[in-house]
Amino acid sequence: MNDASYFIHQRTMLPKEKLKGVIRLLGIAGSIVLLISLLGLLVNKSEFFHAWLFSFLFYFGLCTGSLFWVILHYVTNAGWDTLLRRQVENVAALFPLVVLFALPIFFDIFSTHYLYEWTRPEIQKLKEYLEKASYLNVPFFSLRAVLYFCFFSIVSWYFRKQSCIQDGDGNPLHSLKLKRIAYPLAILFGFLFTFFAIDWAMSLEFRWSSTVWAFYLFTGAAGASLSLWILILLGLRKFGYLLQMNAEHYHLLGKLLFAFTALWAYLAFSQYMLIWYGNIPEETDFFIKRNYDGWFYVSLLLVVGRFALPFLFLLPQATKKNERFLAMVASWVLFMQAVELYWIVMPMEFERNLEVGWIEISIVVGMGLVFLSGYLRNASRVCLYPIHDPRLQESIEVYN
Amino acid sequence: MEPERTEDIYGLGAEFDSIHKLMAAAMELSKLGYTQWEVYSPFPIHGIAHVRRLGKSKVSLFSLVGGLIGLTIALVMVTAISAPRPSFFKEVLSSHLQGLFYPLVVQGKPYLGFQAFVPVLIEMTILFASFSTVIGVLFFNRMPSPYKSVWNWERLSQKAMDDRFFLVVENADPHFSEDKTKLILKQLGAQAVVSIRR
Repeated sequence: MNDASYFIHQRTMLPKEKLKGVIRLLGIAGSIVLLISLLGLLVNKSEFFHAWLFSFLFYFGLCTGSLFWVILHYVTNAGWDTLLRRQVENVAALFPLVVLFALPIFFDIFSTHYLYEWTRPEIQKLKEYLEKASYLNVPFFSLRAVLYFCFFSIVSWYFRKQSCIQDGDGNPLHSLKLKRIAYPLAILFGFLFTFFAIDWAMSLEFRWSSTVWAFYLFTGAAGASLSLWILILLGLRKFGYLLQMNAEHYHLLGKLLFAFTALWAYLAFSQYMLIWYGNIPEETDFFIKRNYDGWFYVSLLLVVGRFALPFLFLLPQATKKNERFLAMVASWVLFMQAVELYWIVMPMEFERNLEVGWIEISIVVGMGLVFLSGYLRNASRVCLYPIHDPRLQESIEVYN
Repeated sequence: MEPERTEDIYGLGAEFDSIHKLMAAAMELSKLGYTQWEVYSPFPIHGIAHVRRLGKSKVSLFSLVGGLIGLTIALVMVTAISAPRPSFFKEVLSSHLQGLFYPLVVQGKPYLGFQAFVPVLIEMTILFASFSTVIGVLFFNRMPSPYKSVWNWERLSQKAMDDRFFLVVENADPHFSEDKTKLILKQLGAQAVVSIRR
């Protein structure tokens, strides 16, 4: 279709030496911002831990979503995204870094108990806690957390590693092997993410429960990591890499983003409507908290911003094929994902009204800088796309 | 069975035994400026619409309009019963229904509780959108059409849905000339080139 096949099998990499300074600078800047945000502990410990959890869930979601796209590539035996897959592998491989972000939360669970109500000794005497105590207790919670982190870290590392080995030896069997293990791993991924979502987000209000919760959180995370993926690809394109990418790839990515916008709305609304219809006190609590004052406007913003705007914007074919429009929608969806998680976590701290303090912003920005530095470190060490993947040519010539 | 006069010819049909040859021939024809040709194959060929310069399909317009019609009908359906009743209806209907047409009391929810309406709105939108998409596809394919000239070529009607690929250049094409086009098709690797009766 174009002259892009000329580039194939060339080891195109980011300029490692040039980026070294940038990576170090971003890492140091992020660490400094995070250290400054530690001052928040002196101001308001509770707010600090809530802000930290919100930020942790955001970056953890980006990593899990990325891992989902990698696994999905192999499960569906996809051809179209082979050219683009390496970048999402690079993001997924940041799991060990994100696990480090979880350490302050463990500190809170074990000693200060600001975050999860059920960790407090006085709550643990209550009947409604004792009914759930066999699942929600600190040792079991920690054991599960270790399991999730190990699984996600090892799987994302393994997928990227094998793909990179294939760059070296060109053996197509690596692809087949990854395809074979992807099926059971997809099922395990689903199970573990479900329990992760219950443990880390739903148990903030341990009396409350929603059966669609994990799927709902997952679609948000998958959509957001897709947006991040799109932004990375368009960024690389802007700097003159991945020239094989064309409007067909943008169109496919845009269609996926559109689908996940609609899926998110479907699940979020299902959850809301069933709770609204059932009208049972222990269920409505979640939405009542988010239905007053400032939080009400955030709820409205989610309906309009997370669903309606991207949905209408991505409906025509032309916007999906346009780099600039696609980048705009992707950044907006990424931002709305942060808003959504803020809306999930922060009403536990700011119960009366919506507030955004410097602690929240500095933690998100600090983690983001460290995250970006980690991504660039991962990306600069390997080829920009899997040069010996048997489906690379198919991916470059993709037409839909 | 070969037709005598040029006006009697619907077009020239060429048979290919592989999809690659067909694609190559189609690309070449397109380069030569032919616009009125059709491809017949047992399965959809990716990218052929691009070669044929068909442009973006207009079926999506049908989907959009159908979806909007469905949404509107659904909106009317769910809200009409809870709409305030005009005064001249008072005699016709029972007068104790809070001035609404037919207020539904479900679990003490509001009459216009939009949350309960959304599933109806979604389903009606999807239903109408999918129906009108199918209608749009049939419309743009000019289906159902009981007679097609290409069926006069027996080989095509037997093999096009089996394991052969066919390319038919129509008489209507401005570049069409029975001898020249036949020569071109033969050069492009067609196994057989046949004039098809109208």
